[in-house]
Amino acid sequence: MNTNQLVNIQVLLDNVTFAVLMLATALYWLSVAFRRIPLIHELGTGASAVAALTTSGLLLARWIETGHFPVSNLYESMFFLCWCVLVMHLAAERFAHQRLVGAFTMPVALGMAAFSSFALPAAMKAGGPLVPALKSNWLMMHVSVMIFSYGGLMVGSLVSIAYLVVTWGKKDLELRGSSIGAGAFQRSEAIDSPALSFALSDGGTTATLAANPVAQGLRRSDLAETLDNVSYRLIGLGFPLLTVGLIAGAVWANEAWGSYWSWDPKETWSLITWFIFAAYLHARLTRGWQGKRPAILATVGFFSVWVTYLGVNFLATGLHSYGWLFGK
Amino acid sequence: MAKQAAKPGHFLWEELKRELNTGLGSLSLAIGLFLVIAVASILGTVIPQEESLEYYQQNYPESGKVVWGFVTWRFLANLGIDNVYRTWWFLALLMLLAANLMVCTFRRQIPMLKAAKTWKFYAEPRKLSKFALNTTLALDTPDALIAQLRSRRFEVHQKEGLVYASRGLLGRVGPIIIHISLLLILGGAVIGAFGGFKTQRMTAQGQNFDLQKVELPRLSLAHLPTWHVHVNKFWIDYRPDGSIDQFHSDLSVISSEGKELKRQVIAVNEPLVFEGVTMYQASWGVNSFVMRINQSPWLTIPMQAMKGGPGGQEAWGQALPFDKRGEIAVQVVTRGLQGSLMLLPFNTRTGEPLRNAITPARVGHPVKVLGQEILIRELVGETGIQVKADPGIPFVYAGFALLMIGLAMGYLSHAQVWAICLDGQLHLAGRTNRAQLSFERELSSIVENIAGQK
Repeated sequence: MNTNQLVNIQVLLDNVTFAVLMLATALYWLSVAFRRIPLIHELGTGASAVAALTTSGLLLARWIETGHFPVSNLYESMFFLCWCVLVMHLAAERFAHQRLVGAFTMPVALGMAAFSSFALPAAMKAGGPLVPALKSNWLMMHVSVMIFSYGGLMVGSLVSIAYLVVTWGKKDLELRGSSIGAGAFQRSEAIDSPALSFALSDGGTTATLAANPVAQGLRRSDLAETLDNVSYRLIGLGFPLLTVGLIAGAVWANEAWGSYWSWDPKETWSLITWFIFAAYLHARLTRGWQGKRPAILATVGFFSVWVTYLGVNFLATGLHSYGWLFGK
Repeated sequence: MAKQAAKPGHFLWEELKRELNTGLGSLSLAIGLFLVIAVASILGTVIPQEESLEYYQQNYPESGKVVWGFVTWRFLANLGIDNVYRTWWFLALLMLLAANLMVCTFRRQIPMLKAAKTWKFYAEPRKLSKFALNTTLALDTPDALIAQLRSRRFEVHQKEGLVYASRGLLGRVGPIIIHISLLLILGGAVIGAFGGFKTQRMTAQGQNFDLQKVELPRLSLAHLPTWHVHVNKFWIDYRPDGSIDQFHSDLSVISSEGKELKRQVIAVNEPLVFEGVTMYQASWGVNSFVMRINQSPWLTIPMQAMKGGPGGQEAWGQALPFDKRGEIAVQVVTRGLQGSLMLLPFNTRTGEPLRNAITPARVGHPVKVLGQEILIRELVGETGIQVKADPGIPFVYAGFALLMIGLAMGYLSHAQVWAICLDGQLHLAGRTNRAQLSFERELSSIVENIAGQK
């Protein structure tokens, strides 16, 4: 295949991705609004899977065209982020058995595809050779892990936003996921249990699984608890990835220009994001921070991820002045 | 009692220890510090850092348009916001975080891990019914349950109808390893700050630089090398479209006796390492050009970086007097080391360029400007080398490695299952710390399987 064909494929897949994501968003919203109509939700999942495939195709075509992993400019990294969000969304949906997830994640994926398709000038979309500073095997290690972590953290915090919407106006729930394992006990009889200090709760809503008579005795998570646990597990995945991405960046910086940390704005913002999600993970361990507060922290983290990814490029200059909107 | 009264120091120590555990090692302090450090870090990305005093006086004036009504240059300087990340209170916050991390790890997490490791059976069904996840089945033996748990990689202990099974204890070790590795990284950063040095050297091709006059902080313990470095050659690879592909510097490390100790060509992302000192390709410039006018001897003329060349690109230039009366000068300008230059004659009194006489030139090709023949033999580049020694790196890297191991372990969910077989009834309960949903599903399917086998 020659370059022209590859470029045409990219243009086609770019438009198809946008259209499919628009359809997926509409289907998810309809499935939430009209819960009784069958199949809408399944079609939405199908559409998001198709979008994940077309995005993969787009990125692959770009990779073949330029000969390097497609994260060297804003267009490429935005589509890669869109792909990560879609993958994380599909994983979250599979894990949660919840249609509500898509109602929050699809508009964000759609926004990403729309921005890179329509808002970016043509010169910013084209692939090109790498500048000397980016010519390193670390590029793929650092940038891809970073963007994958953004995907995980974004979907995780979107599910937290969904949790806040679902529990709007309700009493705080006890959270049941943390590294020390809070909330394993029932509230009423937990008084003399040895793990009392971690088990004090405000009463979780109990939903038994009526469909399965054998496992009836087992208390199962309700909608809010499910969303909370999905969000916790996704952020619990995104946070280590963010850390690994930061480590890869630090090692690369040290190998390339002799300092593993230099407080450049993008670096600093990734550390700010890291601190916010560290606060989220630790807040779940404390008694005084149960209920909605960790979810609010995750919501703040959602915006912080965006500032880390995009905002810094608009605000300031620094070491990460590659693949920017305005160039340097 | 009498003993304690006799030793007030002991009592104080106990009190101090309690304070340490509840205050300095507390989670609320950790969360508070995370958020405060995050906000302080934002300041440094909003307010330009490490600029000159004039810059702040100009952009944050005390009268007239005061930014947000109170942010003046004096305000910024007093609070150290012009250099947030190195100001005393920011470093104090980081030290407090390190202390918090240390106390939390050694006085809370490790004792908690010890408690989690000691497995124990529950003997009364009443205790199991307190778990959120519990059920009772009509079974008189736990064998089916044990087989199910073993097939799911649980470690099962049993004793006279009592069962305890657990999986993923490493999930509880993970956070401890993460904390220890963060302490290692912070320790490495401190060692680097006191034991290392860092400097930049701009050197023309054919020249030397040494590391004798490096500015060190007051408390530095760094020792500077006695050898020096000779720049054999500096060149740039250009792509066909004129953009830069790569920079190269050919460097030799020379001992004080004049012996070559090491020679290497460095490039961006490929530094030279010698005796713990690393040299990176950091920047570049055009140092000078060699020329003659008519049949004059060869002259080496230095060039200066020019701001705001055409199209905002980098350029280097030098003005040469060009006639005996000093009325006309020629500005020699180049964009880089590709060999193309522009000769721009201008009137020295008015600064007016003589547009008709503007002449492009190439290295090695003589050109005529205002009746004189100019030949430029070569452009001499200069290379910007970043020099750095950091003895803290092994600790930081070890911390990075350990951190990744800890993170991988920390994603595991520690699951525990208890069972009591009593009077033909199997009482069952379980809990996990992270993957609540998967564990609920797993336990349901275990229960279904053993109930189905019956």
